[in-house]
Amino acid sequence: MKKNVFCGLLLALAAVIAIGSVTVLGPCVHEDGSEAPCIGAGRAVLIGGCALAILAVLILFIRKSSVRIVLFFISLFVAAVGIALPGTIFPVCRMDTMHCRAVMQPAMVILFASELIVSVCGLIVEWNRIRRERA
Amino acid sequence: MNHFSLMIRNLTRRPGRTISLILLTAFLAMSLFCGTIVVSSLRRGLASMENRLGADIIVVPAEAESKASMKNLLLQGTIGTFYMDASALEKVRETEGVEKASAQIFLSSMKADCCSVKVQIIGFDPENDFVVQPWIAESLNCPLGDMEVVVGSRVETDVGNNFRIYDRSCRVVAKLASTGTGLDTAVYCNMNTIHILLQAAEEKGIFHKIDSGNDSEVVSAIYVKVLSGTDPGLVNSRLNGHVRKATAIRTAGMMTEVSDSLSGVSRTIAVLIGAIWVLALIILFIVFSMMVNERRRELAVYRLLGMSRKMLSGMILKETALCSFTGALCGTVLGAILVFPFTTLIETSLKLPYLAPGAGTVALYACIAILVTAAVGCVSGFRTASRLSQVDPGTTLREGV
Amino acid sequence: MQLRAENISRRYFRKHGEANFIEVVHPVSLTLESGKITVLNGKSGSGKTTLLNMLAGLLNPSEGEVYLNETNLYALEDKDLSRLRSEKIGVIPQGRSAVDTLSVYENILLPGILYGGIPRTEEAENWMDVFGISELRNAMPAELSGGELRRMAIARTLTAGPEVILADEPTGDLDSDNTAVVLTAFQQAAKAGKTVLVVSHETDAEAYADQIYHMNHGTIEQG
Repeated sequence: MKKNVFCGLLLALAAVIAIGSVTVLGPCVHEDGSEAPCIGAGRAVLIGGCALAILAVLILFIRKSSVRIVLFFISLFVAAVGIALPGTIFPVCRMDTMHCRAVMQPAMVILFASELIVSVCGLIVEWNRIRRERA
Repeated sequence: MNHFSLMIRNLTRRPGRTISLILLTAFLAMSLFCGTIVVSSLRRGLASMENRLGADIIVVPAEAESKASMKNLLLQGTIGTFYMDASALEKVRETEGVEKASAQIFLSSMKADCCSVKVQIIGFDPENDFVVQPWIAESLNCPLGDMEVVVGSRVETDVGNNFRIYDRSCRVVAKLASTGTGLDTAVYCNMNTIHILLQAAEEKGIFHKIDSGNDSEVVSAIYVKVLSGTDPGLVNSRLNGHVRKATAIRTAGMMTEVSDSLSGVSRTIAVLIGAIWVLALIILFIVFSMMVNERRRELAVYRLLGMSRKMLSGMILKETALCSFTGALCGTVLGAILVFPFTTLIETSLKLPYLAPGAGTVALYACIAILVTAAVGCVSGFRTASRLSQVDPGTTLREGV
Repeated sequence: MQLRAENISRRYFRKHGEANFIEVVHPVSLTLESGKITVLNGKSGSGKTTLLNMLAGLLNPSEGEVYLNETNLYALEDKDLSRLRSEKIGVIPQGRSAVDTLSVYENILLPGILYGGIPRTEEAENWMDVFGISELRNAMPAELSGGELRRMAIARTLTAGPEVILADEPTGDLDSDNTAVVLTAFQQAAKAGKTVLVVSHETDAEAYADQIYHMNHGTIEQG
């Protein structure tokens, strides 16, 4: 039950990241159709969200504990990288009134940070479960 | 095992009840904290705007959209480019009741080095300016030279960098403190610099509504300070009559409009917070009432084993206090996560001056939100604690036998 | 320790026949001596539990006094009476009396820590062994049967080591083997100088009793 709660949370957050990155939480859109500097960050965030969603689904269905632990670690790593995606790894627009700075960057940082926290909690719960089973 | 660990076990082994209490108090604290921060930021923004305006009257070109453009420029930093004949400045100075007047010229950049979009460039006359200089003096202690610019706090560049506008390179010599107004996205230069940039814009083929062939004969806005003891309304009327093709706007009127909008927003926020608190308190009351039935048997056992009524109500109150405090803390942290990273979004959505308070004030508001919410949570549970401590073990434990 | 009741009675206010109240326990005087097991039997509804609760300091008599040695229980303030009960009087109630948020082991240790005492872990381990519930130490009360809960409640009382033990139908949910274990434990407690009262409508306890009382419609007579 507990493991499903964490998987569910991971999946829900990943879905918000992925869907958000192509809708309200996405990069700037220029009226003339030209690409904004933050388009790369938007695409990276979408990929990060999809990756986390896939990891969450795998964790949900895979039963072998050692594999689940590895998947949680990967999820943790992807979430940590995700925090740095908009603004640090990929550039965003320079004016802070731009949509990518005002909305996308803070929202994605918070969402990826939440993913990180949930991954850590899930990892701890899984680890404790393995320890109890072995005891 | 001791009283504290007993309390923790009671809370952790009834996760549904514990989480409900924590969530409710978190919601209360979050609404209180967020609401306080937003209202406080709006008030600070308004005060900052009042402080920065410096003038009693602003004279702008007579076109209907100029007045709105001026207000939008001040509030939201919306780019404004409008011009009138420079002779208006002399006419303003000649008007009875005017103590001093200073002109500014506006220009928008098509694509600046720093930005993906346009920035507002404001040229002012250092010899007679009384609006921008006092503000610039806080960040720059020498005169602003030619091809030197001072940028607002939101312009993404640093002191010492070169700032390219229409392929002319300007050096950033200072960055201004945040005002919470649209002026934070503006770039300031002296008149020589603005004339060079106007020329460069014309060379780029950018049409910027200049009627006259000579750039030095246009201004965008004239800031007016009236003589002490003179009625600004009277001077305003004189200016409207005396200066052709121009409109005089009283800044007090502009401030009143903004202030009214702010009051409206503050009232809305207060009503929302009030509604949230009333709803949450009702739910808290229901949760505590349900707890009376749910815990009667458990507490009857404690009484049976020798816990006094005072100890029992103390245990329940401590559990309630711990849940309330935890919820208040979580709610305040969540509120901070919602409000501070999205400051720009809130500001652009409200379209009002918005200046977040300093760290010390934020910490104070956070403490108040946590303490008030925790106290309200405890008070809500007081009646339940009192009722539960009166449980009769003899009768209660017989039930269901 | 001597537990003494002097003319205690209990009335409840409700319409009964021509009166506005019902007297569940008529004036009763009773002395429970240390080192003895007293058995109080009688039919259901005869007032046994009400009498036990009054003796335990849990129910204020309508009239009369209850003394633990020379201390009048009902003259004490709640906090003093509660502390006295915690330290000197152990009650095994008729109904379910587990704290659901604590494990079996934690329930057994509970009386000892209420007033800041050191948990009596050795005694707890011993009584869990005696009553065959050691393996259930980490189980939660919701997972236990009625008999297991009963044995947990008895182990809890005996672990606390009170001077007076008042047990209401302690063997109600137990099989004959466990009944014998429980009654033997009470007998040993009495031999150690404790004052023991067993309220039961079954006859098993009478074989262990030093004195027997019968309760009928709120009055008692020595058996």
